[in-house]
Amino acid sequence: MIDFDALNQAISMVFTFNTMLWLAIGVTIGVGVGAMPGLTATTGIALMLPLTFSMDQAAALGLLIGLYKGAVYGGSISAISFATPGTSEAAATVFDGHKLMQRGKGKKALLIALYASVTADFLSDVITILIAPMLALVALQFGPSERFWLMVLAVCLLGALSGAHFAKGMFSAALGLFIGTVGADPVSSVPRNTFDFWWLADGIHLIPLVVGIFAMGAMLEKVCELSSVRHKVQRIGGTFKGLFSMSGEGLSFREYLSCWKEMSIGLGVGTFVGMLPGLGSTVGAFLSYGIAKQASPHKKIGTGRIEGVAAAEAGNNATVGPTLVPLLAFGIPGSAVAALIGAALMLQGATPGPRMFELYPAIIYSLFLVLLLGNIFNLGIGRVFAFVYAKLGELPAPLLVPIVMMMAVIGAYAYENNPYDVLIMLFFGIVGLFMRSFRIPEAPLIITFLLAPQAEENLRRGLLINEGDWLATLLSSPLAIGLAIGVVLLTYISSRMRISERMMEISEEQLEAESKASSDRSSN
Amino acid sequence: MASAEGKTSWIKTNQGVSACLSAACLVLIIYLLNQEWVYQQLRDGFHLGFVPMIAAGAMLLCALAMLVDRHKRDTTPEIARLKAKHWILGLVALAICYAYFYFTWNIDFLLISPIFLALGSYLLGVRPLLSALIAGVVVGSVIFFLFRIIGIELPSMLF
Repeated sequence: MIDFDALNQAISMVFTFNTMLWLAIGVTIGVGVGAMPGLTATTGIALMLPLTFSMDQAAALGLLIGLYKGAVYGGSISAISFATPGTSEAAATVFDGHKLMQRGKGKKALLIALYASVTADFLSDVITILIAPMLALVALQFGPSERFWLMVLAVCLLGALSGAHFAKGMFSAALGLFIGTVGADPVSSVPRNTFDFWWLADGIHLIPLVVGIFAMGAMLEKVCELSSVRHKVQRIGGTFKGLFSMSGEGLSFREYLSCWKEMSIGLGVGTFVGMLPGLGSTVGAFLSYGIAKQASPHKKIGTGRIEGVAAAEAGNNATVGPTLVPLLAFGIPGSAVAALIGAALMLQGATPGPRMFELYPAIIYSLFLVLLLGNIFNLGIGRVFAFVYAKLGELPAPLLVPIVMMMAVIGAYAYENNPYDVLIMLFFGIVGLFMRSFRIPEAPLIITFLLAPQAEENLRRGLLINEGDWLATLLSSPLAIGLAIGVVLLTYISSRMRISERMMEISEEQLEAESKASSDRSSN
Repeated sequence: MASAEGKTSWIKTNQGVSACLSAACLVLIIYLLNQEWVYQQLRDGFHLGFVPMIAAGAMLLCALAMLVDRHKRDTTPEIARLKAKHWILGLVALAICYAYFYFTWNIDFLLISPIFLALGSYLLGVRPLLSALIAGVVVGSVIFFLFRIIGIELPSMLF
């Protein structure tokens, strides 16, 4: 049922100069972040999150969602131009995209990447808008014990599907739970776990945590890399000729339509993968590319075909909207980016979850409108400035690292003007470096950190209702029992079947097969 | 999971790192067990230390699982490459960042930021120094005015 008052309010919030400006800035920064190897959507959003504190809700959503959409598409620019994917989700785009570039059809490759990204992204957003409210209606029926088990199930899924090593994923989730307990307990506000530091009594704030783990950790890794190897910037300006000149071979409408099958595969796979916690857009891109290749062997995807670019790009961009479904419907972020968008909503005073549809319908409608409008901005900005962004791939990392570090320091401090937040951010920077080096996925940590207080609150509320009876609290209904069984089964199956590991192996096999095939062709 | 064959020392394998993690988790649990607040019972009958203990226990369990699982002999390429000097370098970088923060908020953003950016990029490999300085001044000024537009005041005596 559409709440027209809230929709009108949302329209008046979104269609303002301020929101449009921030949406455009978000997409502009996002495409740049995606195009620059070494920066990811998560790093970009983590750095921008502190700025949203001083914005209104629609503008904040515009900045972050625009940045996310732009970054997922932007990765394809350096993948096509340099065979260096700006982000991991664009790795599958290299196979066909860079071969097209080498044949002087870079413009065509960039255009199909943009159109496939925007098409799949837009349609998956429509699916998100249809599905999220229906799931939220179901979620509203849940009691404290069902909500508790749902959170545990989501954390197990994240641990199982993030990264290739189940124990590392679960370690990350447990660490997030521990960090989430620092400060006051969520029900009685009694201080705990502060290690006798008075400035931890308020807990660890989300912004220094995410900026430290995602931005500072990534930059410290770059510092270590740069100290080991002297990087030389390679000038390959000649290969850009086809890209810059307006007379280069463009993309006809017929060619765009000829990729409908690959875009549909990307849409279906990306939407499904996006809704599942833990998998993310990289898996979406590789799965979509693999299926498209199997489905149409006569198209010879992998030899420099626009269909290959379309499948990979549709697969990764179709995860953007659906990754918000678990967040909006159940209050459980399914990815690190969803967690950061959820955090931005919390900073704006709206806790994401099924009750958000009742309490803040205008914000929900604003979010939906921003999701849809972001595609138009992505299309316009990507179409006009793709060649400028291709230059960003040449930006030397030694220049980038101090800029991101400076932004991290400013962002951590500007949030609450608290110098201890800077210290906490720097501490989590070194934790982030360790996690990256040991390949412990960061997403379960952030998501469990966000869920920990809610899970504890639900558990304790359930205990109060059931007068301290643990069994009655945890297994209060058939659904709670079903979810508990689901947790046990999932933990067992994921530790035995190594689902995520196998998916990573498939991606690596595809990468190896493609590089072998291209080296064979070049030797012939 | 990528693995670096043979030549890396045991401490850099998953087993070695997880042994260190297990030890750290064990120390954490012992520390928690010695804290009074852990045993404090709240009005709803819940013990204050219940969730932190569950979390620390789960961390220990996962670290122990890494000690014995099928990846125990694997080494991530990143850990294999890291040497003690890299950790020291990381800590030095963090100290410089804190010094940058301290001086920026006690002196002037527009003065300190270009120095930080130029010095950082020069130390990391940008040449010549003049390019690093120009980039530092331009980027520092752009960020200052962008933040001002957003409504975040960065400390400056000039503006």
